[in-house]
Amino acid sequence: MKQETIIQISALRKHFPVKNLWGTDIALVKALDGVDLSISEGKTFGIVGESGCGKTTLMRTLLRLVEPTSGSVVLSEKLTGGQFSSNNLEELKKNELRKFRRQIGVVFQDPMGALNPRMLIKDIVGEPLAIHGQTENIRDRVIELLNNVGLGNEHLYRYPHEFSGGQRQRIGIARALATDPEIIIADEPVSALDVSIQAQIINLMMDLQEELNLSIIFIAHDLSVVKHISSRVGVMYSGELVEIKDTGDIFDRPEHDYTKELLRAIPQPDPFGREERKKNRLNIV
Amino acid sequence: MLEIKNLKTQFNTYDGVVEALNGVDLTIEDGEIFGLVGETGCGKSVTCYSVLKLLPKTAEVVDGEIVLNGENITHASESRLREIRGGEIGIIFQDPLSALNPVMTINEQIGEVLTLHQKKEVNALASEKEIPVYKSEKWKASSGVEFMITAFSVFFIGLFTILGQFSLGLPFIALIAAMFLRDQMQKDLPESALDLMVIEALSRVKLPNPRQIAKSYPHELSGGMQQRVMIAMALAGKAKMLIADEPTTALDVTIQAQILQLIKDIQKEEQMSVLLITHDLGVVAETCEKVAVMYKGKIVEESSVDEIFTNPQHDYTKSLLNAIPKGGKERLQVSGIGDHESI
Repeated sequence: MKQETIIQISALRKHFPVKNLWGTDIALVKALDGVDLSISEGKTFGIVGESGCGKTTLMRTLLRLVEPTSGSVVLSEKLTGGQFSSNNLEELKKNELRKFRRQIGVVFQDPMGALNPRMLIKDIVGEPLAIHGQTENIRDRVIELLNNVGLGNEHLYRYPHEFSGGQRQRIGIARALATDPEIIIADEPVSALDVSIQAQIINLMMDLQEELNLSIIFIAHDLSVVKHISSRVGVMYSGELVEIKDTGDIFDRPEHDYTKELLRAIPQPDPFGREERKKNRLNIV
Repeated sequence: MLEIKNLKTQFNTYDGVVEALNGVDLTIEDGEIFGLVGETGCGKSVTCYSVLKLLPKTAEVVDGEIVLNGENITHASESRLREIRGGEIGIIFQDPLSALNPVMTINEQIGEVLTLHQKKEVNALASEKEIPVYKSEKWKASSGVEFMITAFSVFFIGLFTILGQFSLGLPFIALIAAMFLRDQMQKDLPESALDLMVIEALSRVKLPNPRQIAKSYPHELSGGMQQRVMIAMALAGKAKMLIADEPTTALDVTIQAQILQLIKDIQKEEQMSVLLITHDLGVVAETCEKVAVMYKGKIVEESSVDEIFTNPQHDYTKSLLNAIPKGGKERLQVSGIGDHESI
């Protein structure tokens, strides 16, 4: 079965100028340097890479929180709903951009930093609804969302600090789902969590994906998590996607040197043969 | 090397007493890497802070014994504890940026450890090479006092200028100029014995260009380099034991592999004992020889690494192993763990 493409990114570039005291450009940081990528509907796309390789900039450009230097992002019919003036992200008008952002939910890395400590859970989860113009039945919708992520009515009138890390991440996911998005961008959602809690959150995301037919862009630096959840994986290195393949292929037949190094660096939960792995690692360093 | 017997630590909170450790028994032999795994809040870190008495004021050790090299240090005096921290047990924390002092250079921070624990060696090196022990900077106060003097001078210059009495501010301008001149004249002093020791400590953790790094501040270094500096600092006091509290959680996979390899290499070279606290079973399998699994303030299982991965005994260990993502599309099994989640 041919998968529908929901977002098509081609030759996307974002360069940040470095300025000196008088405002003259003295250098360019190439955060994104020609990224080509297509995201299929209802699938999970994993992006891995070390810190500073441009994963987060890619996410921000997709939401047009930063303006790309060049390149295009083409949206599918499903995202535009046929009512926008253009299906190119760059040409969207301001009110269209707001409608478009409703289609994308974002889950952030640090759940404590992403939730306002002075707001009640019902306000945090309900805020996207209020912003996008819903005035009635907000409470019912919030309860429905909380039930979706495994929380309940009793959590409505609590503050973020009363929850554990895993629960906070669940609240973050509930908020991302509030506007009924087609795409979820998860920016390292589990790297701050324990293995057991990490497993719960991964399960939850997989369940939600099946239930709501979501497309997920899953950014992480932990390859074992990406391997579990994604159907396609892109490896990012200094602003470029150096390798894009189906999950099985990338782990069995890595081609790029950086992918190989990444795979060797994963600590395996298998004490036997660690001498063997150590030898392999020393070859590359 | 280190023996912990029936250790109990409590936290006194407004909601009553929280028993963080519920009778922990641990024995770490000479020259082995010992892994301690468990989820957040199970008491891993409290165990190592109890050993070094770095607990917050609300916590107290109520029962148990801590024996280091045959010496009971459960009720050791504060001065003895100061010798132990850094001198006999080095410690690396999870987040290197918040563990390092942001307003001191690396040189000053490692120098501090050396003056506390390695005074004899520094003096010996100084007399051998006939160089001064410290950088002989004249007419210089501590950096805090220097800053205060500058700040006051600038304040008075501004005040007098506003009041129209610029000439009264001239002595303060002269003071600042004198301080600046002094710094310029003393810029190229020869390296002292302490500097050499710091550079040696930095090159031991395989940092490139240690002279440059010694002069820099923590925020100028990358996460991996900061963690290497932390390790250099923990080793500078020639400690025979190293406690690493989640040393690689804040790092990338590739850097993590490098840091773990570094810890292993140094452990082998110096025949140290290492207590590695982590929640990543992969890290344990890569580095440790023995493992203890901790759950709710107790050690529920302790055995060799090979044993724990092939033949886990306790239910909690089994469910921890099941929770590791393996790359299939099936749901992960999480039953039995994280039951404190349901508040």
